[in-house]
Amino acid sequence: MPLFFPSELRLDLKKEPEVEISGKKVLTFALAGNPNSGKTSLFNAITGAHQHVGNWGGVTVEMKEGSSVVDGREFNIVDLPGTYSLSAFSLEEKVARDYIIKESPDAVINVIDATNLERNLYLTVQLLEMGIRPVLAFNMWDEVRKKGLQIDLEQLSKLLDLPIVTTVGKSGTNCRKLLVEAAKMVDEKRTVYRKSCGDLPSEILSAIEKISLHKALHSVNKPQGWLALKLLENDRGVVEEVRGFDRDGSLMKSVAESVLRVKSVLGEDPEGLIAESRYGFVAGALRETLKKPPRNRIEMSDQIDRVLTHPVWAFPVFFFFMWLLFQLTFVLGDYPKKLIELLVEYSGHTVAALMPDSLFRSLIIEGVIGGVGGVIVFLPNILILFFGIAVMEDTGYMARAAFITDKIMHKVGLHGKSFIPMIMGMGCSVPAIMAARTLESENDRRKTILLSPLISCSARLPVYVLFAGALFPGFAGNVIFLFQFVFGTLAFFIMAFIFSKTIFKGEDQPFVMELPPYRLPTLKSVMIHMWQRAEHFLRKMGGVVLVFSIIIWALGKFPQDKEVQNRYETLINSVKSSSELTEQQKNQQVSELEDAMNTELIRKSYIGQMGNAIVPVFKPLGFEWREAVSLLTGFVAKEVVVSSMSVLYGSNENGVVDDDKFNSQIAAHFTPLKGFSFMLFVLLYTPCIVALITVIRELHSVKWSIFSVVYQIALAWIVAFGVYQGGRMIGLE
Amino acid sequence: MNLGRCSEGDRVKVLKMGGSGMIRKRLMEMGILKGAEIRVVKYAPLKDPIEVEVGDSHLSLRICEADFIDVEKI
Repeated sequence: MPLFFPSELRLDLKKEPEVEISGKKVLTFALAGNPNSGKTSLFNAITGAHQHVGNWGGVTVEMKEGSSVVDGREFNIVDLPGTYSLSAFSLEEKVARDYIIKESPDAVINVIDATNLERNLYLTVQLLEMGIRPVLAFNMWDEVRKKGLQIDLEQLSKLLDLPIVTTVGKSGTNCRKLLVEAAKMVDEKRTVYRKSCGDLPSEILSAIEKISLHKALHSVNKPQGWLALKLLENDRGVVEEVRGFDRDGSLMKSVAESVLRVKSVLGEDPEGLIAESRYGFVAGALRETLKKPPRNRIEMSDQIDRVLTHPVWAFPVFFFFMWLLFQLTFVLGDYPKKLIELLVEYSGHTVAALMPDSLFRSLIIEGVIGGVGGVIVFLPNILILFFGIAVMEDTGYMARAAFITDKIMHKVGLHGKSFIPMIMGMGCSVPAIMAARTLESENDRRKTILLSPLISCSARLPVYVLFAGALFPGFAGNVIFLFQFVFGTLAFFIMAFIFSKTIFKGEDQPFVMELPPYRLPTLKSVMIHMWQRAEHFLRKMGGVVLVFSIIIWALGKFPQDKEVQNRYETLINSVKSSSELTEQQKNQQVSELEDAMNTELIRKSYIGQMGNAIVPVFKPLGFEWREAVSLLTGFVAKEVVVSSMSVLYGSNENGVVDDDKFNSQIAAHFTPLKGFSFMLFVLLYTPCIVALITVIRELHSVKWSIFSVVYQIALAWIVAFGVYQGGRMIGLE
Repeated sequence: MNLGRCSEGDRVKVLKMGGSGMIRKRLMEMGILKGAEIRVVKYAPLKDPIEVEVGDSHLSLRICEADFIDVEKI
């Protein structure tokens, strides 16, 4: 006999929408659904270019918001994070659930991978439990046909009492119909689900009834029946929320008693029984309505996996893809990058020719053009890298990469999914840190955020190129490779191991990951993916780097020392008016005097004073004041280390670096050992200000943010100290 | 028998879900619960994790997690 979820305990979570005159209000629809259900591509198809990253206070998981107009009616669409359930298991689930509860969208559109109804409808049941009556978007409908699945939509819709619209996110089929259906549901005031959605055993139902009457729950602004169900399920989020109202602990005691009673009567805990009843409900609805063809062929995905996760071939193929991604990013990306460099240089020259020599001209050329140029020059690399990553994600290969690498990552206390931030880190630490969001447990996520900046990002490359080129001319390529790929990754693994044995000791986190079927990505979705990340980079980096390059410029220009300028100008004039020197000698001496003047001016500037003040800290690593100043400016962005140094070594005229001169200056001032120590320090110390801000935002904790800065600087210092002093001891210098 | 001890290609039925907390909850949400039928698809190249098919989904589990799941061959 089916037992119904008691309707009087049903969650009047959502008030009936306050649509006074139908069609007047802009309706807000939330898209909920499993990862890999094609939710994002459906969102893209619905909103097109009209989308932006939404901003909800305190929410760290990015949610996109967009709009669409159908028949003159405007809709606001919110793309919730993809989740398998609403149990607050991960940050994404908590965000999605809180959005639905707190923001009360007018309707929820539940996007479902129609080729995998059983698992996808599990989330639907959880929505029904909350009293939400969603519109079901049966997505990937084209694949349903190809797979030969037969779904009786009419019957299923009747059984579930939910409207169903079939959609194809890739092509945008039926997007309008979906919105119209959702609007119709709102207009008819049918967004609250009042029917039964499961056959829970009577012991559980009576436990729900008893708990829901507890006075502590009356203070919580959520439906009591739902809270009781969640408490029996041991839902972490609800337990934490309710605990504050349960001063005498009687509620939690009552929950614990109910759990024990259910266990003793039914031989299983409520958590399992509730999950079983949800699947039971889904299975019941599908029994009559879904017909699968007999499995007589091996699916395409299995075929592909025969190679891609093959015991022998998996790793060579994986390394080939990584190599390919790298080659595309940095070798192919080098051409547009060179072009941008030329354009920046050209703009510098143009401004220099148009404006009289003044402090303002210097601000424009060195501060503004140099600052902006320093950011956009990395755009080609970033676009290509994120294109590659988007292809890997959209095809489903990223999950396989985590599958084959998990054992290695797990050895150092990480998760296979930490591999994704690690790879991303080679492009830029900012998206890498953000990619740590895919990790479900707080500890794994925190560890990955702390470790990701150790992977050498592309902004550190110019430092290696400069030093390796100047100091290790015969094998510069190998040295660059070591720094760009090997040392950072080594540091990542060693620190991960140390962390997991010290501050992150404790229980392992689950690694239950879906291996979605391989799918051909659409160019559109890859482009949107790529552009959103590149835009994020430009927006975040552009402003910060511009502001800081102006600040650094000012710190380097002020205080203006007229005495030095006058002294050198007199000397230069005396050289120019000398009658004993040839024209060539004159030019050479003038240029030498100018360099000496610039160096002295910077040395007496604010930044020079700061650098001089911290020299004692850097002395044991072999660094002098110029290095100290460059590393200080490197907090802005690692590539700034190079441009600062070019100025400090007098190889930068009007924002343009004189490469040959700069190289010879580096070779003259650095021994290979000292350069090596410097490169190690640059590799390991705190990443640029943007990455630092991202770390702080993602960690959500002042304590951990401070720890992240301190441990990285300490690590950089210790390693550079060890290498430099060790090298000296064995006579390398 | 534990799921972590099965061989590639085995078809098994879940008898009992062991473990506790998040791992257990996540496994059940993904459809691995009492009575569910599972096909062991393959082991990762380094023999851990394991790929299983449940319903229409392919999931990857660590061996230590698969060991929580008590199964019998069918």
